[in-house]
Amino acid sequence: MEQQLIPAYNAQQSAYILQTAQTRLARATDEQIQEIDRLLKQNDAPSLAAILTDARLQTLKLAGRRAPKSSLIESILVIGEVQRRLDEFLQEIESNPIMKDPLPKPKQLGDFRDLLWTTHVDRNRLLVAKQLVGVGRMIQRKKGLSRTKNLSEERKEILKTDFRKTDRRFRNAYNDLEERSLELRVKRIGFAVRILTRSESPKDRFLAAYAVGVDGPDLIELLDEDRGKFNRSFLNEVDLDTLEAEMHSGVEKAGDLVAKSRLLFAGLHWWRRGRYGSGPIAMGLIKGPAAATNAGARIGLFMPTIAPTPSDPMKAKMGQIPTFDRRHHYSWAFQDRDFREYMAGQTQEVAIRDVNDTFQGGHFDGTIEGQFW
Amino acid sequence: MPKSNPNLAYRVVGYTEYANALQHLDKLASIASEEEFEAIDQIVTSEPEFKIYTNLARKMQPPDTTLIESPDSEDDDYSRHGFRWVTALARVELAAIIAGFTQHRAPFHFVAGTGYDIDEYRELIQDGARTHYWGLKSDPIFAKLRRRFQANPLTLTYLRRMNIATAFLRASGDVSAGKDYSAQQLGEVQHYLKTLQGIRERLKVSITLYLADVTSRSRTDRSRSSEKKLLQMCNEGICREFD
Repeated sequence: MEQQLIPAYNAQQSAYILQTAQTRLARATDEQIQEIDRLLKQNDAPSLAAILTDARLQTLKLAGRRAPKSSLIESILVIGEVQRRLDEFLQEIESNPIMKDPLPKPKQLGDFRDLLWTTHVDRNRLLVAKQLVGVGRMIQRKKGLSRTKNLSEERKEILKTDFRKTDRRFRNAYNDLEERSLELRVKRIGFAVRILTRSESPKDRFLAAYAVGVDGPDLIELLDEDRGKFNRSFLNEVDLDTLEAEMHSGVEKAGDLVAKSRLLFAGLHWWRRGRYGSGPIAMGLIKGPAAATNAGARIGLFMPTIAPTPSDPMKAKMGQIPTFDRRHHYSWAFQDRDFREYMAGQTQEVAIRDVNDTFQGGHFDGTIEGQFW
Repeated sequence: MPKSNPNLAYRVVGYTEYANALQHLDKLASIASEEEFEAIDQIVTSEPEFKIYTNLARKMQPPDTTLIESPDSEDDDYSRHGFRWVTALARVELAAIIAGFTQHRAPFHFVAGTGYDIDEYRELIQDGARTHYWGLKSDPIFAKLRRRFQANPLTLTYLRRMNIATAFLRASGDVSAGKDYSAQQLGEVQHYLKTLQGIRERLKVSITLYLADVTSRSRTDRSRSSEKKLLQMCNEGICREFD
């Protein structure tokens, strides 16, 4: 088993992995699975549950609702693994310094940016977690899972995993993270104004100009909208008139740097989307048909959840970052080449809505009220 | 911008994105002071995601070429980081989409901007030209297509790639002449261009003859659909002329 799984896992042949599990693991006992895990570990491979979960997620990403149904043993292993990952996720998010009280006090503007970036990454990871919860619940809804009389108590417990409870925990973490990041952004305004008053470093002044001139107005609007509804009293009590006056004084001091910082960060944002964004067709190279005629449909792309670090294309074999080091090396072939992995008996036509409606590995990055940020 | 199919380019990821990126970043570069430009460069360099790798063509470098790119230092891994590399990459990707999916006659010139990143842009154009030509040269499917014309979309797909390679090679010659390419190197670029031009011409004649032949005969619905696809791909710019 492990000799079939490891090469298939390395080659990301998710359909093959799931088929192998269907045929070979139907009656596997806990002891046999432990033995497979032991052999996988000896070969520095992930556990069977992890391999099956990755394969299931990949299959859902590629085929959406047309993905083959999971077997009972796969369901048990995937549900257990999904819950384990969710617990791990939550632990990591809770270890973010911003989740501790009192909030960290950055010493430089760059530290604010790093903290806010980590928070942004964690928020995106929470969106992925939400998708994982969805996958867990989808598997739980599978017909036949209730016929479990021959299962051990432990396996029955796994099948009964309470994903609703987990979902609530994640929603709370998301809201908490959101509010803490708002609080940090409020504090960044004062810090930025001090930089604009005292510092001559062009780099710091650029970042400060962005904080007061671009982020500031959005922040005040957000605070005003939800005034009195925040869990954190700081956000309910912050004096918006004082904050606005402070912001305006910063904008005045920043002068044309506000417009320049807007150009820089908007330009980099678009670049990041070009470099790392994925459309729904031809392994991410192409957008849906609506993009041809509808400007709004050109915006949505799937983006990596965490800030990517490019890999050396001469060294990387699997999981190259970005997927296409130059898009022009590949996009010429999109009308002819087959960039997708197919399941047995599946046609080559996968409806885009299937992919969009179900699971995607990254988070969807579109506009929110006409703004990206 | 002239387009044979005004819609297709919009579907290629990178077209809208890099065009918008350049619109913002070129404007910024035009109004930033030298000191500010340095600060911008520091900000870009502090983020790993803006790093790019160059000289990707060395994966398929033939032994007898004069177009070898030398490393900057002994331990140069060809990773490049900075504002100018960001904009140069955006230009190359955008120009390549325009070359492949529209009928613009000079896509690399069209997106060149004001030239503040010309050195980086030139390096990436040269790398793209080498990659596409050497990639085609070592592609067994392309070799088969060259030997015998096949009336199928695969042929036209390769015509698209030849168009992109041609645009890269033309731009590479243009930006390198009198700069970092010797006469011998420019001669090699010219030789590549002539080779591609010859193949394109032969294929174009074959496609024209084939279409003239099939339209003069009665056809089944199935063959009509296949011809329609050929015509559609032709009209989308694959069979277009270069200057």
